[in-house]
Order: sequence, then C-alpha cells, then structure tokens
Amino acid sequence: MGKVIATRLARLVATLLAVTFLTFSMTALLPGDPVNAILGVDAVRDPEVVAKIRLDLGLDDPFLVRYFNWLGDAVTGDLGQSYITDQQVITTISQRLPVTAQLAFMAIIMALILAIPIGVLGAYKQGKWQDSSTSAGVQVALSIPNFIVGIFLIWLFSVKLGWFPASNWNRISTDGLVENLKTAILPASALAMTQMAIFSRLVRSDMIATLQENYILAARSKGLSDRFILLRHALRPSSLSLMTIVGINFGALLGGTVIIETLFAIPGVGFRLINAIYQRDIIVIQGITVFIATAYVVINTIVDLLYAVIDPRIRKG
Amino acid sequence: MKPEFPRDRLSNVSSSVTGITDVAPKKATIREVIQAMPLRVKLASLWLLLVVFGAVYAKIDTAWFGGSLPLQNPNFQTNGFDRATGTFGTGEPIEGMSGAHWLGTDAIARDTFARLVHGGWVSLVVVVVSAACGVIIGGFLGSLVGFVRGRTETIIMATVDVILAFPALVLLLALVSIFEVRNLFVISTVIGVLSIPAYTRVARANSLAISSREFVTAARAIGTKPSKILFREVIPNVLPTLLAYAMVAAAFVVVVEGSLSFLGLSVQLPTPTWGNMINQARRDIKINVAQVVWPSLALSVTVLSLNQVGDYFQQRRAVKGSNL
Repeated sequence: MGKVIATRLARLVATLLAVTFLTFSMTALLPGDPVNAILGVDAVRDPEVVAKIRLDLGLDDPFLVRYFNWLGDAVTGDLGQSYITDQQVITTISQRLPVTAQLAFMAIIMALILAIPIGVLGAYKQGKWQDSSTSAGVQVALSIPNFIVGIFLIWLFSVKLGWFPASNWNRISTDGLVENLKTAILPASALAMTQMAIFSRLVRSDMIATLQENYILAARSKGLSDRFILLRHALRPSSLSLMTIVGINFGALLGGTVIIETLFAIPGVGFRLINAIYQRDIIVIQGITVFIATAYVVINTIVDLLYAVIDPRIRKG
Repeated sequence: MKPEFPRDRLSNVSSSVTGITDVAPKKATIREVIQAMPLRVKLASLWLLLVVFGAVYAKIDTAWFGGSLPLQNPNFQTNGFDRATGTFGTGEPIEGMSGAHWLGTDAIARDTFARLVHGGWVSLVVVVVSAACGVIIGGFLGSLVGFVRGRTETIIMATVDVILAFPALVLLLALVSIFEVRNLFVISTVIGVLSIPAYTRVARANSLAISSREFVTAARAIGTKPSKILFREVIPNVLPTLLAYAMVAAAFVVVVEGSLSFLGLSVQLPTPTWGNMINQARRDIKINVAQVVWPSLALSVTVLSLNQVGDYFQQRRAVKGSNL
C-alpha cells in the first residue's frame, strides 16, 4: 500500500509541475508586452511605473528563472496581486472558494439523489418502458448545455413564478441558511442536471453487470425481496465506480461552474475568472487557473488512492 | 467471366478451425447503412444535414452572392433604412412568428431565422477544424506511439496526460484570454489544438490492440518496413473508431463553442452564433422567451443529434471490433 501511495504522490508532483509550468508559460507568452496588457494599451505611460511593473514581474529575468520564482511564491500561497483591484489573488480565491464549493457540492448531492433511483430502475426494468423512457430522458438531459438549463430555470422560477431570485447571492453567515439556499437552488439545479445524467447512466450500466453475478442469483433463490437485493447486494459493489466519478466530477465542477456563476452573477471563483478575462487581468487569470487545475489534479489523486484503499484488487494490479 | 477465388469457403474453413473470421465483411452500401439505422438516428442525421446545409447555404449566400439568395441578411435591422431599396423596413424589435419573419425578430429587429441559419456556420467550422486536428494529428500520434512504443510513447503520452489533467473549459478560457482578437480562425484553432490529446489517447488504445494482432505480426515477419505497416495496417484500422469518436467529440465541441459564445469570448459580434444569440436574447426574457427558445433548441437538438449518431456508430464499431 505504501508503494502505491508513493508512486501516486510522485506522479502527482510531476503532474503539478507540468500543469503549473504550462499555465505559467501560457500567460507569460502573451503576445505583446505584458506591461501593455496590465496598463492597457492606451494608458499614459509613466516610465517609472513601467519599470516598477517590469521589476515586480521579474520580466527581465530568463524564462525558467521567472517560472521557478513564481512557483516558489505560489507554493507559499503567494499567487501575486491583481493590478486592477490590488487584491491578493490568494485572498480572492479564499473568499470565493466556499461559494463555488457549495454550488458544486449541492449539485453533486442533488444529482445523486435523482440519479441513483433512476439508474437502479433502469437496470431493474432493463428493456422495459420504464428503462427506455428514463434512458431517453437522460439522453436529453445530457445534451442540454447547463447555461441553457439555467436560463430556463430563471424564466420559470424567477420570472414566471417569482419563487427564487434570478441572480445574486446571499451568504450563510450574514443572511442565514434559508436565504442562502434560495439563491443557491437554481444555479445548483442547473449544474446538477448534466451530473444526474452522467451518474444515472453509470449506475444503470454497472447494475446491469452486477445483477448477472451468481451471488445475486443465490440471493434471489434464498427468497430475498427484489428491493433488498437491489439496494443491499447490487448497489454496493456498483457504487465504487460511482464514487470515482463523483470525486472526479466534483473537481471538474470547481472549474465548471464558470458559466453558471456568470449567468447568475454569483461571487464564486469562476465568475472572478471570467471578469479577469474581460479585464485582461493576467495575474488573476494565471492564479485562478493554476488553483483550479491544482485542485482538480489533487482531487483526482485522492480519489485514486481512496479507490485503492477500498478495493484491494486495484492495489495489486 | 473472371475466375473467382473461393474466398468465402476458405474463410469458413479457417474460421471453423480457429474461431477467427478474418475476412472483411462485405462493404455495406450507403443505402444499407441508412436502412439499418434506428429511427432516432435517422432523424438525428437528418437534422445535422439540415444544419450543415443551412450553414453552407448561408455562407455561400454572403460570400458569393452578396446576400441575394433567398435568405434574409442576419445583421440587417428590419426597422432601419434599407440602402438596397431606399426605404425604411417594416420590421419591429422582438416580433413574434410571422410570414415575413418565420421565427420573429430579436431585440434590434434582426430576423431570427436568418441569424439561426447563419449561426450554424461557426459551430460547423469549429467542429470540422477540431475533428480534422484530432483525427489527423491526434490520430497519427496515437497510432504511432501505440505501434512503436518506447520512449516516444512515454514522452507523448505524458504530454497528453498533462493537458488532459486540466479541467477542459478552464484551460480553454485561459488560452482564449491570451488572444486580443478573437475571430473564427483563432477560436477554431485553439479548440482544435485542445482536441488533439483526447484523440491521441483513443488512437493509442486502439493502435496498441491492433499492433498485437496476427496480421501485424505477419507483416513484420515478412519484413515489411515499419512505416508501411503503420500506414497500411495500423492506421486504416484505427481510423473508423476515431471517426466514430469524432461524432461524440463534436457534441462536446459544439457545447464548448456555445459556452464561449455565451460568455462573449468566441467570435466577435455581430457575427451570429447560437451561443451569443442566447446571451443577447436572455436579457429580454421577461418580454419574450421565444427568442431564447429558438437558439437554445437549435444548440440542444444539434448536441442531442450528434450524441445519437455518435453513440450509434461507436456501438456498431464496438460490435464489429469485437469479432475482429
């Protein structure tokens, strides 16, 4: 087990180095002078300011030196500061991450609540109308981009019914949980739809395979009820791959909430990234991209390791 | 009459002995392929053909005929002054469906149907470019490293893994933000380059399987040059799987371009795309939801269709591949 962990961690470090290097080069290789991008092309150019920015960014150092300087800062939590808002990028992220994480978490939970029954039903009634109709629904759910789902949720629940606000965000700390959920429910639902489709497809196909195992036949011949067999005997082994995909998708959602956060004007990490892109605020783009990519890679590694802990077959293979 | 080699009988004998049918099945004609499709796949293909036809027609109209073919100008404000006729248009902003404007007009009185048909062009170009990059570059790299293995494989697959380690949309946003001018060329190239790693992975997996097959061993044994084996034996067998994958990947690419457009980070206005039509129309959703519905439907139905057709061909491929 120790060896598995060691190799995975070594690979994690290598991947992180590569990922950070790629992000850094992307933003460092911006066409034109980064100082222009920071000050704006038509800004009045005070040579002193330009010199200071160049020194701050270490623009006159060789590329690799710049990368390792930047990496050294990044490891200690210093991702630089925005030239537009003057805020430290790490502060921005730590303020906004809880919002994004809450959305991602709610989306995953809502998706699971819907997906498990749908997937189990599809497997249990394989080939019957219950299966074909839910499969068709899942196909459709999978094909509608989440921002379209979001817009129509706004139209129905904000414009027509007036139940939830169309945008804005209430914090748990200042407005309380109920007010917070009111602003979170629509964006989380929009995110949940695709996840639901992915999860239920997985549960269905896994369960179909599991239900053909001999021990299911044995359980059936013991006279156990279908319900008991489905939930106790069949769902558990099927939940392994579900857990993996849940973990990976949670990581992906940290970056995947970008559009929904923009649509609902939610002060999360993704919305900040989009604003930084509109303002060409390179330091912020760089910092957030590296943060999201790192979180994603780390979460994937944790999921991999957990998987090895739970399923001994992986450890040996 | 040509003397015929008794191919079928021979293969039957060998297959009954070895259990392997290595004879290529008779090539199905296009008509047979279409007849074998389930209804939903037929409908999906029909929709995709319509979109492609509309987009190409619209492009030909503006590029070669100066907009004189029967389709309205997608950027003409129908309540404004028409230089061609010297009169003011009779359109209104946010009209409903009518004979003059089949799907109504948008917030500045442009014909929605025309914009929708024209909007398919951006999606089409992005899909074609990304599939071309993926199949040609990714397909070649993947087939190559699956066949030659060794250090080349380690290096290329490590690069692929790093790129795939990013959440796709975030990497795309970061790359797109680099460009000050975002036109169709930039957008399709960026999405195309980002498509390569996934194709490489698919191609490599298939190439690995094919490279260990008997006919490749046989080719090696009779001293065929490796490059010839790669191009004559491996790549032709990887290609069909890759093309089936391209359909599914296309669905993803359409969503990605739609998302970029929706965020205003794809091609610049006033070029119509389904994503930017949705974004513009959603501001008036309180007055008129129909203007959001049309581009949303076009986008979603296209993605659904690509998924249907892609899944269908992947399944066929999997079944065929299993008795290879």
